[in-house]
Amino acid sequence: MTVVSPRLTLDAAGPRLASSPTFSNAGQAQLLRTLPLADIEQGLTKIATLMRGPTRIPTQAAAELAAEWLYASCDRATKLGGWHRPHISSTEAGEVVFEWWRGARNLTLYFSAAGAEYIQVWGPDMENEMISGPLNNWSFSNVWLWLQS
Amino acid sequence: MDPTVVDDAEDLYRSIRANSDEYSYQDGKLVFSSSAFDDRFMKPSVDRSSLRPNSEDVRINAADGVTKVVTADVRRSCKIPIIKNGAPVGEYAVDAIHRPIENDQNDPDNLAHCQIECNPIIESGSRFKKLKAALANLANKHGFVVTPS
Repeated sequence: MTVVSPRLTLDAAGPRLASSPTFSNAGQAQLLRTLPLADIEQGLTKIATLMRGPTRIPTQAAAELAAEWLYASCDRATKLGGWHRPHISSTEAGEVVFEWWRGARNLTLYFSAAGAEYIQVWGPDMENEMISGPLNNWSFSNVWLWLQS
Repeated sequence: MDPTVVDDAEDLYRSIRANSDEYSYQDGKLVFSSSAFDDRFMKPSVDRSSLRPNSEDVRINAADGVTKVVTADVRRSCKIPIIKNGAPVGEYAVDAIHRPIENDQNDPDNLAHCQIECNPIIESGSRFKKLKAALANLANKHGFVVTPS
């Protein structure tokens, strides 16, 4: 696997945000053997491309967290079923955004220096057709299963 | 030009950068990313159809595409009660506000310019993320009214 940006390399010894995904030891050993590495590589390349601008450049912390969650979301979604590479973009606020669509449903993940959050969307009503919350392993599994249901 | 009230039936056009992260095709179906409605001031710009009869004129660059949302749909997307000390004290609302640009040092004149704004003003990134999701969801109903080249 090609590491597209040394600054995006996951560093197990480095500081971790509260929103960082966690892997079990056994899961970590198994992880790289089973993941669709082409998807990971293309996702990391996309994040690195966003970092080069020219506009909506993500913060370093957002890019690193997004890179971690690229692995984690791929790992979990591959196990749960239905994995495909997210649409990846960035915002004026320096966030990295992952999006998936399935029928009328949309799952959006935001990564920033402050952490990660999800938004489930099934219509345009901000009060009654969207749910948002902090992203962690448990919430990701729940929203991924919702997306696939 | 004095601003005027935007009619419920009016279309609101949004320029979409060609070959950008602002849209993608999922299983052959066009979908707009929340990033298509990103804005550093949390007030996405659109153009009023009544003052911009040719939707091609909305494009920022010649290769760009244009999508649209309908004013009434935008206004319906958010009616969130504001609760203080357990009691409702108001309501968040989304509206399309005519903000014509004339003799501005930074932007070319645009008498059709309009902004999608929240009242009270959005201060929370999470609420703006939902607004972007709502607008992308509404735009998905209409697709491109001008296809990017």
